[in-house]
Formats: sequence, structure tokens, C-alpha cells
Amino acid sequence: MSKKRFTSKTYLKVLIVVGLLAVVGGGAGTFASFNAQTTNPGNTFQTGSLVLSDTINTGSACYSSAGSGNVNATGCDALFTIPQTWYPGTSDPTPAHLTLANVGSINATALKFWAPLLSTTGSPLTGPQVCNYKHYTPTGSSQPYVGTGNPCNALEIQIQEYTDQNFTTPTTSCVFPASTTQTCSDQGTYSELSALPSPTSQVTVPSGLTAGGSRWFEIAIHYPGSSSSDNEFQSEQTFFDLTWHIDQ
Amino acid sequence: MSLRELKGVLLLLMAIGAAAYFGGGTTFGSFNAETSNVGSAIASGTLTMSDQVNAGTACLSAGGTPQNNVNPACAAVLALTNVAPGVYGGVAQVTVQNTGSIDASKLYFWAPQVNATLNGALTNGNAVTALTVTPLEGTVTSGDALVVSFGTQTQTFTANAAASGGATSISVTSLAANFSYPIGTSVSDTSSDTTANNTDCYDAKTTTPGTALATKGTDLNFNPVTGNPFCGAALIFVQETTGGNHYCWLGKGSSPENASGMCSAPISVNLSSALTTGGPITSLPVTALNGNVASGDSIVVVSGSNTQTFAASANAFFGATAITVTSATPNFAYPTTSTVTDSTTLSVALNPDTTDTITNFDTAHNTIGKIQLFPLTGNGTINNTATVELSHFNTGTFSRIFQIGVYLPAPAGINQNGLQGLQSTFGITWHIDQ
Repeated sequence: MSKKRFTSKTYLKVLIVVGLLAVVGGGAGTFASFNAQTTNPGNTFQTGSLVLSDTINTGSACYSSAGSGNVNATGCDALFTIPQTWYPGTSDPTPAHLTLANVGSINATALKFWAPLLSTTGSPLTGPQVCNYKHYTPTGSSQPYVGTGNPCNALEIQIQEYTDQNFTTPTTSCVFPASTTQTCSDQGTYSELSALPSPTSQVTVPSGLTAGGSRWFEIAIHYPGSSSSDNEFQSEQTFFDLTWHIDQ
Repeated sequence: MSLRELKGVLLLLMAIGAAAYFGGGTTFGSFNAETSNVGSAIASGTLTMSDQVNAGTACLSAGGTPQNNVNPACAAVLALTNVAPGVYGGVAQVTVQNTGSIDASKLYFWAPQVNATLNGALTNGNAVTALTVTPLEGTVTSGDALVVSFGTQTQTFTANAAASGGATSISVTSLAANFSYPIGTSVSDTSSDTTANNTDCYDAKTTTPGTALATKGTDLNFNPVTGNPFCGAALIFVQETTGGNHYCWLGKGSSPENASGMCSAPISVNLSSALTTGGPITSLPVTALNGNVASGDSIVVVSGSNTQTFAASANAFFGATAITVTSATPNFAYPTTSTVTDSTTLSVALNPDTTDTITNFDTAHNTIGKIQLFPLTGNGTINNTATVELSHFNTGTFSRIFQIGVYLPAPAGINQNGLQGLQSTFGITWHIDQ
């Protein structure tokens, strides 16, 4: 029996077989013959919202979301527009009723307020103040008396929280000037407008504001009067703002 | 030769012929033997997988409409609503199982590309100018390649206009379909997952409020979705818990791998039994942990206005029902409704984290940056030379379990109002190879 010789054809056949094996069996992981795959699509992750509404008396609600970046700095109603006929001896202006509501879906753990710093054109005061004023000419007056006193140190403010939207039952504390044990009325004191908390000394009202919840505040202005110094406040227009803020 | 002699010769030749005919051998051997093996068959095995979210129904790779052992439509892992920064998000468990008869040498997970399935069939030979799809997961950019796959059939179309996340139609350059692709055919944008703008994860404003009647995303003017900011802020983690071993595959704790194999996974649980003020305790009894606690972490127990911080003195992993703490006497009789959180995980580990986001998962760990799931050998250790990563059904480790969670961090001093009322939508793909 003669010994078989490997011809070039035989070598080519071997190479083809090796090549086929490499394609079919090799490269595991990169060219796996079998594979399986599942995908879990549609996973969702939603944030809630934190939006404050602010209503004065029976006015329209003003929303934080209406302002830029959820800060509505100019669009809410004024607490008071006290006529220029107010003078010592007349009754204090009717208190303003403020309703704050968290119309978002996330609880606010903190409710704060402060008075922004105001720069009033023509004010004798130097620099922005939490309360500011200017001289003005009352209607019908041709020669106004220009007072020299600072009304921010004379006019006073008081903030009382109520437990109900009808403002019938005050809470057992006073928001400003703060007391945790007495109502503002029982406490019997007011605080000067110039003593309102500034942006750097914000006051936190305990208990936050739950999602969907409301809190009710009565804000009263008082002019104690002083027979010896009243004239110094004639023809003066006083300004202050209050900012209400909630944090998640 | 006589006639008689001739007849004899002919008879002899006939006898030889008959012998040759019945003998049949080429060598005319007297003895021979023969066998035949008939009915030989070759049967291939199977390599299929299932994917089960929590205790839901297992979703089978072979059960997908595209009929190619790729199921693009398994259940969502997470559906979290009314999330707030710095507050526990959520976690879910995914069990991946080899349901076939062949070992898988490789097990991976990755972020899918922008995808959908056909919601309108294509007809072979007909020109296609738009793909009608299920709500698109991610954003398609004009010029993107859209691969349509069903069984062994595949075709690539080119988008000729942008399509936003959630869109149900993608405009494409006209091309005749090479097959009648049915509804359910998978559609993938192979040009996606390259930047924050074209990831599988996409943001949209919420259209329903987090709580009844509350403000929803579409009511707000300060929460733009351009660039998918929520996907870029929300953190994701994937921690394996197979067989009681732990390994952080994705998220804070994965790079470098945490020595104990734990991701920074926040917890939010309740006490499982009340605390008393009678004396010091060294363990907090809690409902099964939905995250991890690292030794040394601050554990905060809160009930109404009462709060107390304990110091964890040992690690506690997913599912643990007690947290070992340094001896301390409760300052209040905390009831079982008290919440227990890990403030260290939140404020130290996760709130400053801007790396382990869903966006970065999508861009770094897509089909190119697959995460290979080597078998675990202990907490924080793997065997990266193993030849089998998911054994065939009913043998060895044929199931592996993963905890997947998300968390929206609250970085100090940063206003995150822009993330209010948003929804991120994203996916996860699991894959095995023979």
C-alpha cells in the first residue's frame, strides 16, 4: 500500500475546514451563536411640585409659579392701601386677611416670611430698608407740611395666625412679634415696621405647609400716636413688603 | 469438444455466475458481516432568559413579538411619582434567569438605545416615509439610523426629521420595506445615546399632579425639558444580591468597587417594633431594608417632632431587619410608625454626586459600554475568569438578583425648582450569550 502524499489541494481543503470551524465555533462572546435579551423600558421617575398661593381678603389668588423661577416678586396684591385721610386718633385700618396655600404636591417643611429691602426714591432714609417712606403732597394741599420723623419707627405691625378660613379662632401663639404661648391680642404688643425681619433674618413659622393645605394670617397695622410728636409724620407715605416662602 | 462436454462447461459457468451473484462481495470472500446505524439525530439546545420585576410575571426573551429571542417590552422596573430632592426615591428587584438548556457564558446589562416598537405594520415593497411607533423612548435626531428588526429580517431607515421623546411617529427618508414588518417589530435608533440630548432617558413635563388637584408640570413655566435635566440629575444604582452576596455594578460604590459590595443606596423604613426609653439599645429593629447602611453612618429615627440620631456600628444590607448601632438610650418611646433614614448616605454620599446619573448610564453604558456581570464570589468580589455567568435552567446559579434604585439628590445651596413637575423615562436591557 502506497503512502498518501499531502498535495496542495489537500492543504487547501484542510484550511477551508479550519476556517469554517473558526467561524462557527470560535469567537465565543463576540459572535455567540445563541443569545437572548430582554429590555425593561418605560421606567418612570416623576418629581412633584411645590407652589405657593397667596390671597388677600377675597381677592384672587396669586401664585409663586406665575413669577420667574417660582418666585413671584411683584404680582401679588398689596396687604393695605391705607387712605391719606388716616391720622392720629382715627381707627386703625382694617386688618388684612392673608391665605397661604401649598397648591403643589410636596409638603413644605418650612414656612418663612421676611420684609424685602426697599429703596424708595426721595426717601430721607439711607440705603434700602425693610420699611421705607417718602414725603408727598396730599390731595388738595398746595403747601404740604413735610414731617421730619421716620414713620417706620412709629407705625406698628402684628401678625396673628388663625385656625380657620373665616378668621374666627386665633391660634394660641403670635407670629409677629413672636410668642409661642400667647395670642397677639393677649400679648398686647405690636412691633415697629422697622423691626420687621429682613432677608437675612427670616422668621420661620413653625409647622410648614402641607401639600394641599392652607394657613390663615391676619396682619394688623397700628398707630399708637403721641401728642408730642404726631406732627412729624404728616405728609409721609410709608412702604413695606412682606415675602412668604416655603421650602420642601 | 462434443456437445456433451460443451454442456458441462456451460453448467459450470452458470454455477460460478450464481455464486458470484449471491455472494456480492468484491473479493468474493466466503464470510462477511455488516451493520448500519440508522436514525441519528442532532438536537440543538435553547438559550432563553426571563426577567422578573419584584414578584411580577416573568417576562421571556422568547415571548417578544419580534420573534428573535429579543423581548423589548418587559415590565417597567420603577414607576415613581411625586419625588422631591433629597428624599428617598425607590428601588425594585429584578431577577434574571436562564430558562434555556445551555449555559450562558456572558451576562450583561446596558442602557438601551432610543427605542420603540412598530404600532403600524409595514408592507413588503411599499414605500415607507414614516414609522408609526409606540411612544418613543428618547429623542430622535434628523439623520439618525433607525433599525427595524423582526425575526431574521432587518432594515435600516434614516430619520429625516427630529422626533421628541414620547412621539408616536418618526419621519424617515422614503424607502421600500424589504419585508412585511408586523406591529410589535422593534425599532432602535443606533445613532443615539451619545449625548444628554439623545439618550434613551428623556424628560417630559408631568400631565397629572403628584397629589390630587395639585399643580402639575405642565402648569409651570420654570421647568424646561431641554437637555433632559432630570435624567442628568437623577442618580441610579444597580446592586446584585444573589445568594446573599453583594456587588455594586452601577452607581455610587461601583467605581471603585465598594469593599463590601454595597452601592450608596438610601433607606427609608419604619421601626418593626417600638423603642422604649428604659435603657440603652444596640440594635434598631426595622422593616426589611430597602437600601444599605454602612458602619459609621448616622441613622435618624423620626416620629413627629421627636428625632434621634444613632451611629451604625456594622454594615447592614438590603433586606436586613436590624441595624446594629452604638449603645444609646432612646430619647422617646418611638412607635413603629417612626421613620428610619440614613443621613450619611443622603447628605455625604449622594447629594453631592453628579456622576452616577441616568444620563451618564445611557452615554457610558449603552451597547458599546456593556456591563458584564461576572459571577460573585463574595461581598465586593467577582470571578472574572468564570466560563459560565448564568447557568442553564435548574443548575448552578441560573438566577441572579439585582436591586435597582433611583434617587434625586439635593445638592447644598442649589435651587432645583427647574426639576419640579418633570418625568424621566428610561430603560434597562439584560442580555446573555452562549
